[in-house]
Amino acid sequence: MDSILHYLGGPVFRFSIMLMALGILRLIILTLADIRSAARHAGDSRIGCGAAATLTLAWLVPVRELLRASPLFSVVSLLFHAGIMVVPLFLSEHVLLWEQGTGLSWMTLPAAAADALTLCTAASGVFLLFRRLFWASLRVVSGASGYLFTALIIIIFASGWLAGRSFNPFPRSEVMIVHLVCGNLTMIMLPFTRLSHAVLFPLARIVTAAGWHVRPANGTAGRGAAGRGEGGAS
Amino acid sequence: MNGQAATTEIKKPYPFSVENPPTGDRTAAFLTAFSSILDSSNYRPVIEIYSRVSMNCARCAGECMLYDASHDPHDSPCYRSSILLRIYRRHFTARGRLWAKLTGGLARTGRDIEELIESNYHCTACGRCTRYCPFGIDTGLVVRLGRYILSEIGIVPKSLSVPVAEQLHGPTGNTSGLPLKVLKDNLQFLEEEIMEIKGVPVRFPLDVEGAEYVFFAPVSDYIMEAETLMGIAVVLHEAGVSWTIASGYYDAINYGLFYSDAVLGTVMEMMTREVRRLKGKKILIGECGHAYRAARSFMAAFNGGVDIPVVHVVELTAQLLAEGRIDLDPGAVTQKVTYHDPCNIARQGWIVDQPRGILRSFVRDFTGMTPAGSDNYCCGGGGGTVTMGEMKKYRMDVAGKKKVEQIRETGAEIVVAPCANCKKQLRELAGHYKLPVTVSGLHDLVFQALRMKRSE
Repeated sequence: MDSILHYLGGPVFRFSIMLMALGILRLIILTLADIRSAARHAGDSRIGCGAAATLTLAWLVPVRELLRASPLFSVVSLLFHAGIMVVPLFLSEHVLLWEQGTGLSWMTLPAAAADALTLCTAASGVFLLFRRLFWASLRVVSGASGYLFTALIIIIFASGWLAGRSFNPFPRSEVMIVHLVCGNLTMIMLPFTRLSHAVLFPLARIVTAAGWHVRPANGTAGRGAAGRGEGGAS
Repeated sequence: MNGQAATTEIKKPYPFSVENPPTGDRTAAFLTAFSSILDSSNYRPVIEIYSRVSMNCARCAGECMLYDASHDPHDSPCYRSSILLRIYRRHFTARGRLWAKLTGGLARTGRDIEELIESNYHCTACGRCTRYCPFGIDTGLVVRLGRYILSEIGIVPKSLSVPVAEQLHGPTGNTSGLPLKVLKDNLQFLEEEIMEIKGVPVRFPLDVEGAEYVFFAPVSDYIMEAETLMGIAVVLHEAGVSWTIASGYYDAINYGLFYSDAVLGTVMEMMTREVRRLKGKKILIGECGHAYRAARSFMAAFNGGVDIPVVHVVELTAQLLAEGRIDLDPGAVTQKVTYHDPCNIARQGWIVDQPRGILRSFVRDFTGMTPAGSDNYCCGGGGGTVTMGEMKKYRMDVAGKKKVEQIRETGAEIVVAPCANCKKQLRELAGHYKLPVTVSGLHDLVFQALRMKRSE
């Protein structure tokens, strides 16, 4: 069991993180190239990034949004995402692993705060999963991946928390295997699935602005292919 | 590569009248047009990133007036944009194609197109949901792209395609089919009316070379909104603004904004050609929301990267008032007045304070709606839906419900909206819900309030 744990926390972890990093790099490069190409072909190449950047920043710290139509969802979602960003990077056990593997080390969360945030993340994940399951407007737009990703995050955080508890009813090594498998899987999937919103989110509004910058010849190819155009006017 | 052979063709009757609907395999035609548009436009990166970042949290549902009124999950912006996104994933991405092949998803495309046709023309493309989407998904853009693809295979509501056909190819060259001779008669009539009411000879100048502003009103105003036009003419006359109407093309309406880049660009070219012919310096748009947004946003795109300044008449009047070039009687309007923000001029914060400043200068009892400005609710007739008779029940019972509540809350007797589409929808709402309000253009009231020095 220890060798499996060692394998999952060692080579598999390194492979997962490398794949994730390279995948993210590829996504960012491709998206930036798309924006550049869109600007080059647009009739008006001045794509303003200011408004897009301001809105993106506003959503990274969505204080205003907490007071709007969905305050409960907003707070829970904020907690969920804060936990996903903070705990994996600043939990003392994780930082120790980094130090052992790379020699790099940085500040860690106090154990009590890390535990509280871990539980909050798992609990908010459960809330989000139930929201997706039982609210018709959300269920109708939810595919398997929507449930799967949320469930994975819940399992990662719950298993991580449980593994450190003295009252854990399961063998610690088995819980850790679940934790590591799900964690590695999430990292591997990130660049290839909708989990990539984590890194593409800051670019989405700029790409939207590029989309509104139309090419002067738009529609010509479509007209040719479909033999129509101008809404059947021709 | 679009997997069209594996799709299933399903054909319900169209939810709106379509002139010359496509024959043959509609799904294959749709996918071919989709592919061509993706290849020849800037929409591919948008759809690609949306298909990656959209987590479908449905947060937008709470901000959409359509969902708020119907509580139908299919009316949430998230769902609306998901239809085109899933067609994209399924046919234009390797991961989606593989998944669709494994799960038999390709066969669902015909049904998705069926749903897209109805769903995209339920949306008023007001853009409110985009402000509240954490991921920045612009449902208005996705809906417009869906309509654009449909238009390329000939699926456009007749109420849009017929006026556009007249505008682009018809003898009159405008959406109302108003011949130049009739326009001239109408202008003469308006001049006589102004003379009778204000006692001042005011002209509607035609084809004046070198004028500062070339004026484009929604052409239907020349038939139905005499007071709006008279208000604009007296303001420009009183302030000594140099302006002209162009006889070669005089329609601000650009339905291309609602469904087609091809139409959008062609109308922009017709407009700029006239400005160049008359050596005008700026484009002045009358009381119309979408025409202003189309001209302002896409001028450079269709004019070789060169901007011709585009000014909305409300902006100009506010400027003239601030400069002291027009004088409005502070007690001219005693009824309670409220203001509706047309989405196409307010959503981006372009024209929000200016109309309120004008109204406050001559309305004794002005009251605002909540929310308003860039956060406003659509009148319920945006995105071209106000032209569609088939949509009237939906516009009244669902799309306009929120606006009716807002108007009721103000207790106003007059609702001002400087947009031809909004005015039409608001008048229909007032009739349908028996609201005790008059719907008016802004310059209709300015016409009453303007004190003309030269008449004294």
